[in-house]
Amino acid sequence: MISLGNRNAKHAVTDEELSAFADGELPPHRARRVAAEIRAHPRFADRIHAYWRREAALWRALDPVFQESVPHIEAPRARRWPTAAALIVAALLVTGGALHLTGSDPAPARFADMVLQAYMQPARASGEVSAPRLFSGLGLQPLSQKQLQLGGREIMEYRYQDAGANRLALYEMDRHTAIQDGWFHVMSDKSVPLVRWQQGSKSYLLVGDLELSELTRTAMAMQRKISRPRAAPEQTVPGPAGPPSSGTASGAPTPRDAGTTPATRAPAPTGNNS
Amino acid sequence: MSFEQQICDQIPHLRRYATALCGDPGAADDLVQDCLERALRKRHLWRPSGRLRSWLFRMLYRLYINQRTSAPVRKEQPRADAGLDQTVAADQEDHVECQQALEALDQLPTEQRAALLLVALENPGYREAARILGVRVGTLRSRLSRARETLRQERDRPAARRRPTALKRVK
Repeated sequence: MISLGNRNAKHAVTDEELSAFADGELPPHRARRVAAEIRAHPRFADRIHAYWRREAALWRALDPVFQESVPHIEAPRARRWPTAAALIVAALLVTGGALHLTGSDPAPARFADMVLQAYMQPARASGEVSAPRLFSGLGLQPLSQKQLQLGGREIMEYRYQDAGANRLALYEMDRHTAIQDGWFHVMSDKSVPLVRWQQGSKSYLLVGDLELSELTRTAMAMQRKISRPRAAPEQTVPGPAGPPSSGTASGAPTPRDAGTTPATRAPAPTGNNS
Repeated sequence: MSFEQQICDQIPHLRRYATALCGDPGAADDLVQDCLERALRKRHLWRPSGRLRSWLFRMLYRLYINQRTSAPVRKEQPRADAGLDQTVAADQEDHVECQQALEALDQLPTEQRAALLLVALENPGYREAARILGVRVGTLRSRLSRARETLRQERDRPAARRRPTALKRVK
């Protein structure tokens, strides 16, 4: 590597020093000396500018990766997820792009649009009942629940409000596929972000007026709540079905009313369909 | 903030760094998966007083190096257009510059590339970066300097004389 100079020369600035100067990593006394050299010799400034410009180009080239637009990430392969920890890992992985609904489910983008339309409707309508308190430990105040028909599917909508008065809605539907998928899928290209995951025999879709990262955290917390055996007081409150206490989050399919006894089932749907 | 939430915050950073290292989104996602899986397995080794970012990036980098050395068939096949298959809202000139930067990156030895990408993308201090890469600060400085000079000289070189990295892919 050709140095710009050596320490015995009049202009004692080396490549390494210029590079460290560009990162603000030189000791103050040395940085002052290099700054003086840069002022005296514009070619040093040109060199630093070239470094920064190159790295800015790298930044721009890789920024889409950071901004989450991975069009598709396949579900984790079985060989890679041998332990319970694997489920957590899968849950942590925030993938971008489309919502991958499979089997007989409607087209992902269209279905997401339908869910968003439902979400935009006023929270309360006649005949609705209170939303479940299953997530009260997450600081979510239940607002309402109702059954919807979207894309020919029956879907339960549960609405909440967080401590910051932000609206959230959780949509629960039966899975129409036996494919196991422990991932969180994030759709960030809509007006409101969506997070979808599968759990037991259900698919869940969370929509909310939150930042994507915050919404994802909430979805993760919900997933944990749903997979956890409910405390006694909560068993009297209807809510998202989730797997039974003996099941796993992505284990065998679970009946819709698992975890609730007949006496604790939700009131009959009121048929406030969209 | 819980351990899991902190990890969640780092995933976009890990994915970007892994994509830049591997040059291939699929391989990068595999690498991030491996890293997260290991992080959860080794969770008991993480000290809350330490920086989770350093811990995760060090893990990711070691996995990357291990995969390169122990499984040659999994070595990345550098893609000159890594990251550019995403939508880039930029004019043609900017697009070309981004592509040239990525091509030039492929010319660098792994260690220099890892150092430059880490500092340029994540902006850790030299001490933290050196810790992540498992080298001394002086070594890091040297690698950064050499990497930058290579990239700069590559940029100044006429297009016809640049090494045709896009033709390196072999099936």
